[in-house]
Amino acid sequence: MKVVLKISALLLILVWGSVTGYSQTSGYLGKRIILNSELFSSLFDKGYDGGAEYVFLRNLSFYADYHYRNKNYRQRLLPYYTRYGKYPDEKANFKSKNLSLGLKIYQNQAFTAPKGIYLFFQYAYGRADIEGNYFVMNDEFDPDSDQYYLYRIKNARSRIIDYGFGVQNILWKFVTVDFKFGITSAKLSVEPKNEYLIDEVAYKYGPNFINWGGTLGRETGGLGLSARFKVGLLLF
Amino acid sequence: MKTTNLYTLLFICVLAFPLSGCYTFLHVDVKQSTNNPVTRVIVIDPEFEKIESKNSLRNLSIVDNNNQEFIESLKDNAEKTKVEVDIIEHQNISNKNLNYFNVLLNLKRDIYNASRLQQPPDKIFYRNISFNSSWTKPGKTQDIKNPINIPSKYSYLAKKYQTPFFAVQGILYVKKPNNGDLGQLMLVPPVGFASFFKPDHNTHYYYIIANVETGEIVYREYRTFYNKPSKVNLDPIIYDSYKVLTKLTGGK
Repeated sequence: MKVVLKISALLLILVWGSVTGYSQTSGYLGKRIILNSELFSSLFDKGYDGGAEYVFLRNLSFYADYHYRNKNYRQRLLPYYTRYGKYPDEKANFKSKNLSLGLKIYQNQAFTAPKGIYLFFQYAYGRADIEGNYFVMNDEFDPDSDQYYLYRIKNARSRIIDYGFGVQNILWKFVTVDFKFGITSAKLSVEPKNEYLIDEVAYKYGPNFINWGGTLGRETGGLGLSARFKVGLLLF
Repeated sequence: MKTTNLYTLLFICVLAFPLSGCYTFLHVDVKQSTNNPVTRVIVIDPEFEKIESKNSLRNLSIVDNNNQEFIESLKDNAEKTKVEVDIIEHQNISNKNLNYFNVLLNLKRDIYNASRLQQPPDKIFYRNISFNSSWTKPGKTQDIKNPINIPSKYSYLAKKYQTPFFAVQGILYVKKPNNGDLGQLMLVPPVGFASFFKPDHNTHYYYIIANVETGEIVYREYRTFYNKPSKVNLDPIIYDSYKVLTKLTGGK
């Protein structure tokens, strides 16, 4: 976590000069508000995403997004695999709702926000419901003593930090196309601490492109790369 | 170092790479001491020049001088930003208009010259204009302090055109073959491979305003971006240019 904060602070300091040049805001031909939706959420996460971006300085914009994800994934239960030589057919289900707030720092000088290449920093906070299976092998030689049961975790707290770079282009003066790529660090927690959540679920949460799993610092959650593709309307 | 932290550092390096070559530039000089806000500007025959080479940099040639789309964009955005701009176009001038040929063209040349002499000589690139923004930080304004002026013989034009502000404004577009980027080829092979075939586009926009009463250059702006000078790209640049002018010179 400290590493993420340090790197983010460094990035912000490095690019601060780009936002302090002129204070007036031109937007794109005077338009400064975008409503958009992320398409990868619908394709890969069976969810949806909607948000708005507001350009408030020459090279700086603020955005807010609401994400809903409904994802199924294969449960890699090792005791189950040891017993049956395969993983269970039932998939775990993960539903999360997050509200994210972010900043985009546009790097172009000749063009003003919201057009061009940018660095972004985003913080998302939300809740998640998890449903999966748990397998306990009590006796290696007695399959009847195995326990296989449904596991539900309600209202786990989720937190995702994203930062990276992207490019936004404007077509026909009112359609925005935004592609961004970044590193994602996620955390999933529930009180009291839950071993199933830590061992089986948390490390899968967060990145949508490459997940290195594991932890960053003392956080429990996914760490990896995410790609997002947004299409929107430049309204006024 | 933990593996995850290593991944993070690696990502930062990857992140720095694409951003390093993607900047566009803006440079603005302004005469801060002017008491006369720039409210109306006469633009003398805006230039739109396209220079293209298919083989090497040594064979550059002007292939197009069609500036109608550029002039339309200037007019549209002046209207949107409520900046009063009068454009004198050479297409609309007859051979009998001696004022244009004897005075305005000379004034245009003298504005270019004065602007050139106010800049470091080693940075001058084309038409007496520096497009290299490295001599000052992009995005920062710089006060024009150099006393080199345009001749006083043009001062009577202020009364004739009801404004002392005359400008040269234009686009220079250079399209040349791309020699490819070996570094990119090694780090990001698809992008690097494409760089050998995609031509290199450089578009430069400039806007220099002089006050003929005082003989001073009061405003100078350069922008560079690496794309075609299509209307989609020019419109936001010209719109922002007028906004910056209004803000910095105390116009409407």
